[in-house]
Amino acid sequence: MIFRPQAKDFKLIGFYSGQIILGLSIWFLIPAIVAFFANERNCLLDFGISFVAAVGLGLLLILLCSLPRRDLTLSWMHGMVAVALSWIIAMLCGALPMWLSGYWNSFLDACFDSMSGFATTGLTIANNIDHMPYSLNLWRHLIMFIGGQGIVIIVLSFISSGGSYSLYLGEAREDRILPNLLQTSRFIWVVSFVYLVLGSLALASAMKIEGLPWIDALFQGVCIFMAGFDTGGFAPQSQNLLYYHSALIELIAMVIMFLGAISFSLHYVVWSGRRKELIKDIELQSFVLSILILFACVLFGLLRNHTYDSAILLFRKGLFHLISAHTGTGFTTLYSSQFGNLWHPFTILIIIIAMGIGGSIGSTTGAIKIMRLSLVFKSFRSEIKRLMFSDSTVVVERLHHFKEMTLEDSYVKNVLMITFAFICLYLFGTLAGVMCGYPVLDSLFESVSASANVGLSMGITSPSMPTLLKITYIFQMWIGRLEFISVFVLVGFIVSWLKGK
Amino acid sequence: MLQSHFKKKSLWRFFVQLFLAKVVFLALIGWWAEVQAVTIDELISKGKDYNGKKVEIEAEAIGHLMWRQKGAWLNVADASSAIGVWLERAQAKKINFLGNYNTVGDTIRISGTFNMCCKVHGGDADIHVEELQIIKSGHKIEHPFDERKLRIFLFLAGVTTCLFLIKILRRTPKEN
Repeated sequence: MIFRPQAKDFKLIGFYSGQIILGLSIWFLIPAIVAFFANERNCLLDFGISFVAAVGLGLLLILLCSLPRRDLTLSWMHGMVAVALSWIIAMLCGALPMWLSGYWNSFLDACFDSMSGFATTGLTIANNIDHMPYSLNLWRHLIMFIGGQGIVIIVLSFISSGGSYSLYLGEAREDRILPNLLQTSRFIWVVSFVYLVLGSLALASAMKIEGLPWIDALFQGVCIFMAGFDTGGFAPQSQNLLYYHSALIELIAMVIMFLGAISFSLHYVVWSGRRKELIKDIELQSFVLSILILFACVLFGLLRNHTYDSAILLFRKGLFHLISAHTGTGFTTLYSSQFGNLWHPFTILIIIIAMGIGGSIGSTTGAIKIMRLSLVFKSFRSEIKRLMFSDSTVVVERLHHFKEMTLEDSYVKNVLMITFAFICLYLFGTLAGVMCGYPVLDSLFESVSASANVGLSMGITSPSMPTLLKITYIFQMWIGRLEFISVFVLVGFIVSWLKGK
Repeated sequence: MLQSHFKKKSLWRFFVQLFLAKVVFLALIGWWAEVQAVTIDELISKGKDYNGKKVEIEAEAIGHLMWRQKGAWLNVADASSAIGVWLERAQAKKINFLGNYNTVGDTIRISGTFNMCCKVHGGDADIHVEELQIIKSGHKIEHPFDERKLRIFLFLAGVTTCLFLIKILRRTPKEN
């Protein structure tokens, strides 16, 4: 028998959703300050409206759903539902200044870019990016920074109430870097801000060298860093990184993308002096190995097609786009139509595979994640061993992930479930694309890009694409970023509300 | 006899005229074929057809002039897309306005060689400019203040302040 949720359940979810929205609303002040100093008066109003609307909504939810302090402890179900709902509300709030600015054709289009930003995807259907105001451009990149670290992490950095770990898990984070969740959240922010300063300065210096004035170099450096480290992929100019025509900027971007695709846990152990983990950790080993194997395949495809005839071009185009795809960033120095026109279908398939695999668990990347695939591989190997040896033989697979671990069946089951769900999601988007009249390869590319929160495109994503596809990709970005569980729990919650007794 | 002589002469004239017309026509075709006026999106999507050929585009100068050792990069955009163009320093100096939020950039007509994967510029799609002409000067953009947005802001700010006050008032008795 399914139990129908009670008023208290709704109140608890509403209360925490309200707190998350309140936490998010503070971020509107940053572009508002930029709009004030850049004399972008209408944008200042756009962000002002969005700020008061978000604060109002947050307060309203908290007021309507207030409960005695003793009842504010979250169960897993409440936490998951609150997170899944908060991401939808965050998308709507984030889309508000975009829609008010007039750079998007409709509120749905603004929602598309808002979800793309929060989920660190990078697909965009904005118009006239080259004439966008500073404040709005900053907002596009800031939401990647917020979404990359996690909307909930913001709240958890300030509060730590009973059951908040379920909120943390709801955002597809498994790693508890420090014993205390509050400390973990703060550590994630410290890491991000330190890299933000260093990375932005490196990018700004490179941009200055390449001919941008200091203010724009700093601004665009910060934007590109936020989009790169959070494996987002937006850029302040419509041509993405192609705009700069610079090998130096591409090189720095590759380093930032790679750092962004490494788990915060690994950052922590390296920061705390355990540098040997860089060599010993199975996740990093698998990630590097995967990049090397796939790069060899990309080289094979590009050489077979005679697309680029020098080593420099092969590295600048081949390796850059492979890193961009594998880390789930979506930075590009190619036009979307050039993938289809210049690259061999084999190379495109390799890029799709790289996008579908993704980076590390506990990083800002989307997709299946390399750790899960290496566990599937190890489990596969241990099953073969079991079949080969006698029945009395006990096969134990060991791995090193910050500590020596034994591969357990329960974990493999969980991993296989997520992997299977991602493959279904990739196919679902592909079917939607084909149904809307696009070629299979293009549809698969776009679907994997949206689900795995990458942002590379073969040209389907545009303001003129069908509404059905926009909604499909929004759904894919949302569910892909949250890695299914919290969305499944939300669906279960709704079903139990409708059918429960 | 005289009549046939005139007939021959007019026929001869006719052939000469036909020949001249053909020469002019071919010259026009040749010029057109040598410099093809296209949109940026057409250049990119049919890159293989235009690769290495002389093309002509009309577009707005946007963003920044990025000075490099031997020239400068400029990005230009038309209604369809944007592309990088490689200029000599003297050509780059002609640009006065670059498009951004506050400015409409100079509209320029450029002719040059299109490269689908430029060998000297890291495989980027670009145009190496040979001729540059400003056909419309850029200008500053005025952004009129939107009073309707101000009214919405004030209304929402009022509602939110009320909610905030309610929250404070509701909390105070509990704490007491």
